Amino acid sequence: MNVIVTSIDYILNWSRANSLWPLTFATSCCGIEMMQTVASNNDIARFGSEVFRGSPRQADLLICAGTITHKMAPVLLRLYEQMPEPKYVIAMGACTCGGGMFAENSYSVVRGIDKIIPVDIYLPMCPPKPEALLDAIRKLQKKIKKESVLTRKDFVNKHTSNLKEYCGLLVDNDFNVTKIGVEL
Amino acid sequence: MNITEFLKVFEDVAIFEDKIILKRNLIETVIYLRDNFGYNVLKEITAVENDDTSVELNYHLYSSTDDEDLVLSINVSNETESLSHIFDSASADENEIYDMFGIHFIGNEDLKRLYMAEGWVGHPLRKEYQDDDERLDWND
Repeated sequence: MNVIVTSIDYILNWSRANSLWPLTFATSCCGIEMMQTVASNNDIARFGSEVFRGSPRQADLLICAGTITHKMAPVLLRLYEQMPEPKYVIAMGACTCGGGMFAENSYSVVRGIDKIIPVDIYLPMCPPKPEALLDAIRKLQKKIKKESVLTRKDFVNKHTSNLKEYCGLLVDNDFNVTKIGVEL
Repeated sequence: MNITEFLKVFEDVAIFEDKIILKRNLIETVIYLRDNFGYNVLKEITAVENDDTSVELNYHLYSSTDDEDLVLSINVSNETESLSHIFDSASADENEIYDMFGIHFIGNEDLKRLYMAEGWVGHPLRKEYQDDDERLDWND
């Protein structure tokens, strides 16, 4: 039994890790560094992540590049929910990791996107260099290659149980959390 | 622009450097400047809160014929007249000032929150603003 699961894991993880398609989601200055990472000098295509998708339905990876404000928080959650499983998140920049320079005395900034969605890789710096984003993608690939089908299911179920807690606390009380793409 | 001619029409006006400080008659002054001196562009509206919680609004006018700038300044408490029916560009600036300072512009039919989320409590750039919304406790 273990041999079969391990073989399936190896094939699935290999294909998932080497074709991470990111969602085009740049909310502020980190987006410029993300564009630079795609350009020819740094060439994210070497790691299979060059296909930036405009639609969350076609994306595997959410690179959250920039500050998330209270007004943007429901949008971020909705985009994450619309992405099909398997999906991964890189919190790019100091603002998304913990509020950054807005962590004290700001009325509008969310102190870290891990208050809203689960984060796989934290990438601080303000903003990170393109090499740092490439390093984050490499680290995410290593993490994906260690995953198992069974533990992935646990991770997803953990997130769905947390969602009910979040939806009453967002600014937009009418926002209805969609469960599409989360339930297996 | 001929200042003396302007002062004959509008009394109770102070001039400080390149700024004309009004006490009333904002709309009449703007229409007069547009018709007689060619100030036909409203570049922007800025706002500053004073120590006595009144808000100073600065209207930056521009004359496209003479290539000259002019600043009209007026102190308001909580509400003032809207310029949106004279200049189309006024509406967005008035929305922003309403959002940040809570000034109600009478006559602007499109007044809404521009930057903050719908249902936000308070106006963040006022000095007495307290960031204590219970719905946002998850973010402390």
